[in-house]
Amino acid sequence: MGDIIFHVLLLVVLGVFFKESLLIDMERTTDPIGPAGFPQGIMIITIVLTVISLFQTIRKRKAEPAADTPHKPNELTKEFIGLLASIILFVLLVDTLGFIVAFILFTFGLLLLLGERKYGKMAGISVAVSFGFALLFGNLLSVPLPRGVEILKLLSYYLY
Amino acid sequence: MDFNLLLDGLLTTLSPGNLVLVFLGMLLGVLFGSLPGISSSMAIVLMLPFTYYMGVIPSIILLVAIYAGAAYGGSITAILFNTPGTPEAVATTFDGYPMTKQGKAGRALGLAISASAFGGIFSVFVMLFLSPPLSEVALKIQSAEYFALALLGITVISAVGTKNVTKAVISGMLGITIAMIGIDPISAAERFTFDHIELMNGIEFIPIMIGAFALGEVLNQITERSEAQNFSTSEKIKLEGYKLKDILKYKWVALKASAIGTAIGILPGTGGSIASIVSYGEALRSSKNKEKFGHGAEEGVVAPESANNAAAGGAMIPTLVLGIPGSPTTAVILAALTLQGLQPGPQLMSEQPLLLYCIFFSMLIASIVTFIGGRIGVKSFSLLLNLPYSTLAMFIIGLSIIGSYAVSNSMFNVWVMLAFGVIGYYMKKYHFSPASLVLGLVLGKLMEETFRRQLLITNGDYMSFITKPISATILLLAVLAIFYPLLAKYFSRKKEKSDQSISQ
Repeated sequence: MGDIIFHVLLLVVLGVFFKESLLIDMERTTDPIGPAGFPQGIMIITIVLTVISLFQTIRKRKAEPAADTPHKPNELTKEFIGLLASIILFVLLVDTLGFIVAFILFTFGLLLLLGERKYGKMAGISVAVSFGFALLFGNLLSVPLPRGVEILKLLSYYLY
Repeated sequence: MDFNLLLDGLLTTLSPGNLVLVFLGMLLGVLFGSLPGISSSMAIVLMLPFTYYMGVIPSIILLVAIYAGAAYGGSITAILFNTPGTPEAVATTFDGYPMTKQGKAGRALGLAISASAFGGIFSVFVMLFLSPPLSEVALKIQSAEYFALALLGITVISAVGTKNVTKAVISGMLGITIAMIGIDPISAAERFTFDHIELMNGIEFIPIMIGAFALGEVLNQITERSEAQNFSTSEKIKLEGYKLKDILKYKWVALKASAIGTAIGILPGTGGSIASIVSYGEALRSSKNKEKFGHGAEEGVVAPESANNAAAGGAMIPTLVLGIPGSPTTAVILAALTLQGLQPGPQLMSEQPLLLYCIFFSMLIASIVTFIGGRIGVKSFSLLLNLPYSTLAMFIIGLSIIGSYAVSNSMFNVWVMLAFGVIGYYMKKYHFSPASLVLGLVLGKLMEETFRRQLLITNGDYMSFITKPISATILLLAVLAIFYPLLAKYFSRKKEKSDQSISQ
């Protein structure tokens, strides 16, 4: 069933993109097909192929009703959802907390989520990896990592 | 060729100070190349300020050695973590990572080192002896041929070696559609930006690549391991021994890929990512064991790694001889030459012949010492493989987040990486092809620009793509590649029938 839903979602996304392509400004067009021609051509081919693939999937599903076996890995686990949620939280908090603090919390949370229970070791790894990444990327490679606000911002200047 | 100058060039490069710079540059290149989000062009830009106070020759030697090292470095994380360090290493993940999963990480990395060195050395010799004539040929390759080449790159990989050709082609087309986001390069019209300022410059393909490959793979491992609640042990990945002579088994694959890599590298505006994709496709097409590709075929590591290093050398040819950069990285090197007060272009060869020979030799030495630098890089990264999977996953995700952020110092790219991590996971689950998606992304812009430019030049003559002999030949190969699975099925059925009739 998931395969069919994925096809339908794909068709919806392609539909949205195709609708958007109709709004492309064609006034300054100098070449025969213009800025909308190539993507529209590609999208029409993709939509046709997706419909074909959808029918093939439905036909296959009817022929083999047990195709979606219950043994397949399930995405509704705390690890899967928790991992995605922790990345979202990290991105939302990093501008406020700064890279180091946000990354320490993120890595600690991730280790906890993935079954680690030795808290001392987890804290050590989180701190080491966060400082290591900050020094490598922020200092050596001059990547402007987020610094956070207030005192966190001031402290970050000592590191990167 | 002036052999006195050649000797002077060799001796200058071998002087202790310059030799140290070659080693240093190569090591830095391997380090930067292996970090996702840090491309070879970025590595060179970061080192530019250090060259301000150096002389012309030492500074260019350093930058060229970084370039050669970075062309290899990308393969380390591509093979070990399915996270290509550079776009040039995307094709290396296709078979490199499956080899790691089979416990052959050491062999894959060893093959990548040897293939990279082979490709680099090959292109330096081509550069040394054939620079002027090849540059003239490269200028004759025009829009129609570029378009055909991009199409061939996509079709070969989408059609062969995937479980479902339709889904692979859909994935490639989706990649091309995503590549269209942003400002149209010809008319400057906004396309698919949905009024978001972040989308005006288009979507960077490195976060998509990191998401689809690295995060997608971590999600995949997590779903599999969560059933058994097994996060404490890593897969049994061992760095088995590897002998240099093993590359000889694939000498023809490496030679062909190096020739393709050098040829594509010479074409202005292309570079290692396209070279590695096309040579992977060619290795797959000509292999007797096609079914092994995508599941840990050794040729699948040798071909892209030879090609992307050869392309690095190839791209230097038009840069130095004509002043036209063959890749984004050589464009940065060209800027560095200008910073040193040199005027790149055809006159450079007559005005600075020693500099050119020094560049050739520093690339040659950097390619040879890749064996040493590569092994240092591999040893340091391989320590991570002994960690429990929970720590390894944390490290990969951390690297993915910073790698995506560092591309343009924007958290928007981390959102893109996250979204494509989920999309990549489901694509893999439902037998779509994340690899074809990335190929579409890399080649999409080139395809569209060259297609439209050709129509513009010929006043809308679509036949011009098939009336030019080079482009017609490449397009024919692309069509054959698309129909290859059908033809293969037809011929195998025919053979079965004839076998049955003989047995009866």
